[in-house]
Amino acid sequence: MSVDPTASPKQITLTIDGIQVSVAQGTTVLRAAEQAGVFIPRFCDHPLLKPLGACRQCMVEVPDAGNGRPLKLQTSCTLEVAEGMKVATQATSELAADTQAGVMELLLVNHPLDCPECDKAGECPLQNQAMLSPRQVSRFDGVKRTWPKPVPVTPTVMLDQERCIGCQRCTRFSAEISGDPLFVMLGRGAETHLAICPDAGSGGYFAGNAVQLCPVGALTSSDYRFQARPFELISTQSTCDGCAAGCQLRVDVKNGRVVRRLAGDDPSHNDEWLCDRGRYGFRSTQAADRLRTPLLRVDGQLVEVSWPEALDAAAKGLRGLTGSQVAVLPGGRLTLENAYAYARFAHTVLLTNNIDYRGRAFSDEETKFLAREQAGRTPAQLVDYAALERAKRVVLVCFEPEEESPMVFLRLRRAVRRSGLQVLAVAPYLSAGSRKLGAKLIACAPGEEAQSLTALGHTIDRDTVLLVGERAATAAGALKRAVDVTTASGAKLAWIPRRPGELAAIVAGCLPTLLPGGRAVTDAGARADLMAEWHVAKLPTSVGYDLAGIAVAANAGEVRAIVTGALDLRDLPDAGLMREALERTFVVSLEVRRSEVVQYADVVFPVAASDEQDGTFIDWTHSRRPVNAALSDQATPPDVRVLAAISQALGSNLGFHTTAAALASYDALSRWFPNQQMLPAITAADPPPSVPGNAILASWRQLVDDAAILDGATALRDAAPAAVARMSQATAAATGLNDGAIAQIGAGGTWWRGPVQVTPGMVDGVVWVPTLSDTATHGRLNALPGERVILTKRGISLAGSLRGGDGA
Amino acid sequence: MSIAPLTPILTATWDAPRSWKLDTYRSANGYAGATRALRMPAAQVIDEVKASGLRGRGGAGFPTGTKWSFVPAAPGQPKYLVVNCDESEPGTCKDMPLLMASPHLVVEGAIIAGYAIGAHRVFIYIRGEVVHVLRRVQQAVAEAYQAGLLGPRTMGVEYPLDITVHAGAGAYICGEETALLDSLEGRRGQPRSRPPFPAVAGLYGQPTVVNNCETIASLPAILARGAAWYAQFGTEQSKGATIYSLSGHVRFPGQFEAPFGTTARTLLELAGGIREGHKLKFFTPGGSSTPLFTEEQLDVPLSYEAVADAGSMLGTKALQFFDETTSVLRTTRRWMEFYAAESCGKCTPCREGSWWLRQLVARLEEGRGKEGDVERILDICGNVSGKTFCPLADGFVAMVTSAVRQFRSEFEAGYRRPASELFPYERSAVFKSATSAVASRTTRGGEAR
Repeated sequence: MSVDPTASPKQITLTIDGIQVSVAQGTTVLRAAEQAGVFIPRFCDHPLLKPLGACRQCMVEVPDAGNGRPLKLQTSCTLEVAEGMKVATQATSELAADTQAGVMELLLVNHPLDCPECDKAGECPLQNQAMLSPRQVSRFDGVKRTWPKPVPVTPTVMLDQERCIGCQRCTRFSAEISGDPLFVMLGRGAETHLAICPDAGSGGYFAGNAVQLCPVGALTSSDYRFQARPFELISTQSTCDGCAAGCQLRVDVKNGRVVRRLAGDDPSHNDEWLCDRGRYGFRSTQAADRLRTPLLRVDGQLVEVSWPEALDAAAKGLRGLTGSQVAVLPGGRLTLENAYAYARFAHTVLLTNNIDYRGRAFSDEETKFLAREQAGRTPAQLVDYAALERAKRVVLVCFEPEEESPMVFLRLRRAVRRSGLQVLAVAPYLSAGSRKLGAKLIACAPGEEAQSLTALGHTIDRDTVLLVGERAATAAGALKRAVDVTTASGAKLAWIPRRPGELAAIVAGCLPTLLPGGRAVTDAGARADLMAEWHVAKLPTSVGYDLAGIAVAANAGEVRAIVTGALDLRDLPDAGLMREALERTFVVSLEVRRSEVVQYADVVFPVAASDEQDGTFIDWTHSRRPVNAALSDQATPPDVRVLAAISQALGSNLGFHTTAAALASYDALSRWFPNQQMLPAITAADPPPSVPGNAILASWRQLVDDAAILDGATALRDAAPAAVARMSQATAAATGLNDGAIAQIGAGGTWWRGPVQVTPGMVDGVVWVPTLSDTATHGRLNALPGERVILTKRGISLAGSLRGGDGA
Repeated sequence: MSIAPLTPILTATWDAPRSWKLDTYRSANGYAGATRALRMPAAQVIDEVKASGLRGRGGAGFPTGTKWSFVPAAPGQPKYLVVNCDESEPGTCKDMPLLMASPHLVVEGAIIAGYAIGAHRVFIYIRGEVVHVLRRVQQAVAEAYQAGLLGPRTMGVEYPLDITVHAGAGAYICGEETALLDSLEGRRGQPRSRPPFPAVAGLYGQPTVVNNCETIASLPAILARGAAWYAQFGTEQSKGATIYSLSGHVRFPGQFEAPFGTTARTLLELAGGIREGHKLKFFTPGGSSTPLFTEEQLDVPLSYEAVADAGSMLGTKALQFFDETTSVLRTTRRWMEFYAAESCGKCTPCREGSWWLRQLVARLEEGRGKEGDVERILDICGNVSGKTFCPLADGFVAMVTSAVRQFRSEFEAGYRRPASELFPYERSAVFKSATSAVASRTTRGGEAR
């Protein structure tokens, strides 16, 4: 298909119910009617799915097809507009109105009258349109078909077949959008029903969209089922905190508690889709370990105290410590406002550059990359979702879109299907997600991504977009090479982290080398500019410690106090060292739940979760995404407020107390054009030290895993993909393993045990395990991708104790 | 009224020994049409077929040559011919005997049509239940390959043509051409949205012609003997001859090949008339999907135009005759059961309308009807007719409404009495064994006749 996307489509003028409207060629009459302000009832039609014409609810009369001749009754959802066409909808045509009333009566023939107990009632297109229909009492007095119900389709989706009206939105979503088999239509006539695909498994990561798409209550979510009535809900439009994709969502609150999340509607980002992580991952803040009051360590025990007591204690512990004696670890889940507050708190109140938001594996190469390539990005350099669709080729480097940024995955899949986008995956094997993108594997052992990029040569050209994931920090030289090849070829480069707060933290200055707006801490001009903006007399001048440096310095006694935001120690490359560091220092923790960090803290402040505060996320495209509080009157203030209060207790001034003021302060900063000379050039990091081992570790996070944010989302966790160890046939054979056998992988005294899944086409000598999936069963490796690990056969079978992890 | 002569063209060799073998077929001038066609420019073949007036035999009667001319020339682009042998409508039984007796007619016709439209691959889609027919066609195609009639050089001419015989999975809807294409592609058989039409984007998205089995089988004679010869038969708008399938309460049911325009009365006489001692009550002119005719329409010439003028459709020319012992409620219910089971379920009016109508007709037949059911049936038919994705529902609506219009009092009797009391079912049975079986099942008070 050679459609020039830049050419504006031809405009077609037609008349609908006497209203003249001009629309793009190829538009359906139903959509043209919407533009003319005429609503035509419909069920199977959906703007993001191909027309089907199955429900027949949208039939209209066409007195003139544009050629002077009438058409027989038409489904307006499948009929394309034509110049001069005249359409009469139910508003002006008795025939159309009668037809629609007739179809409605037929739709209800087999639909159960169970609205009083149906989740959909109150927000149900069938119910709403039936209420508008002239016939309020059905003439059908026969036997309705019945089905066993409800049928669990996946752990998250329930099917009530009796309510199904056969619109096929769910089956079309599977085929056209997600690529995950879920349902097929089976049977004939009125016995036509949804059958669960034999290979549906746990439904993939997008099954929740089928529930949201269902125009009746046939598909319900096991999580929301019977939880609320639509009239009890207070809905708020916000931005998902599940990853850095920036998806718009709707948060539904009942009685002061979030009960549901739905996809919003934003064509620039997520269209009307949401992944299941975003959809169901809101229960963790409702957990019993949620913090509601400040805590203070008294005689070794954390006890609940008042806010003034906690603030006094924090101030007492921090007072007098500055520069290299203190450190700030804000974490990667913050809004721009909160990140900016941490940055300003570090730079102006604690006078330190020991600040690093990265609670994950990183490298010095990445620090330089983020400063040069992310903090000061100009609009011309930016890549957004639309740019992915315009590209001819996308190269994935250290990035699995379906696992690490599902909305990017959906957009890529759309581009692959619509415009023939070619996807190249630089990876150790072709993942399920990559297969759904029709991607070509550029086989590469972890750590050799830089060489693979070089080898791609002229394949990377002006029409190419490189998508680099945060895991590139573990592949020495990959980030530098990515920048080099894109600069040389004119290709575009986008860095896509997993956590929602990464970009905000970078631009706000939560790195040891950066001040807000891409200003280098070592740039005297930048400092002078910022001192004027902030009305402060001084700023620290030398590069601070990064997260690893902070841990070392704390253990060496140099850093004596640490202020932390939401940090998950499991995600750190050297959690043991950090635990010791937290043990030795005075720790002030701003947390949502009693996390592991809280166990080491001296003072703990409860802070608002993202559902409970306003703010701004910055997604991977660098665009601002509004976060709106779905819940109010919480005892938990945003981090901004707590940091301002601590500053005040320290006799200092953060410059703002509220989220709105923080944003205003950030926005008041003059736009800074970073002096590239002042930013250190990117240099390739050292490869990992050589340790003994017979395999190279490949690993990434699966979308649904042991992430703290998913705690409480039990159905979703049940739908998580099984944890397996992937390796090639040769690698397995070399270790005496075969498919389904239990492998044991060791590194640095830690172990991972689980079933082998022999993966065709995988690079030999590499073993892949998920980073944080069902660790209670499988254990967790203290090793980074690219490092050597010991792969052995486990003599005693653990199969009996594996939950869903049997690859057989 | 004199009996018009039969015109055995398709049926000419049906009574020959081993009529299905290539040798038999060849000895009766078989493959002469294809030989001639392959030496003509393709466009000329299309013109010849247009001139013959051949119309599609699947029921709609669309002019075949015109249908072919919708296929874009587009050299290099794959094009497909699909022969629709998914015959499954109640009463329709012309294609299966044709394929049993003369499979090479379809093979030769496929060569002619494939060549005319520029297709190098032909699919013969056969209803899955009729395994004996499937085997016979497979063997005929194998024979044709063995004789060098198919393959890289079709009948010795530089034109590659391959035929694939495909068995359907047994769904009436797959006789609808776009559902057939979905089925052939390995999908669930459901009609496709049109446009695009198959001639532009059909099988695997490529230009495709779907022709009925009998249409294809008519080509060899047209090409061998010329359009003018063929056009001499029939009427002005329905040229040629065709197979009429007579069944039901006639003395000698079977296939009768005669020109278009022959009346049902003539055909009925050829079949020996209604069974002895009985008289005609109603008949279908073109299969169960066509509005019923009664004695009054016996002299309607069976051409597309005349039957349409008389308020029905020529359809597949399946004439099912029913005598005065027959309950129209019983036939209506049986047919309705068929349509409700065979509705593909894709669109609402057909799926739900057939479910509802089946229940209403059933309770009338059982004498459990409620006042107003007859009006309700007509109203539901109105809500279904013309509102569906494909013509399947229009077929049952036409059948039901014509039955109600012509025999309303029988339907209304269903408010009070079962049809089996008014029309003891054993009286309708043709075979003695069936008579006793039906009697023992349905007669109240144990009185069998």
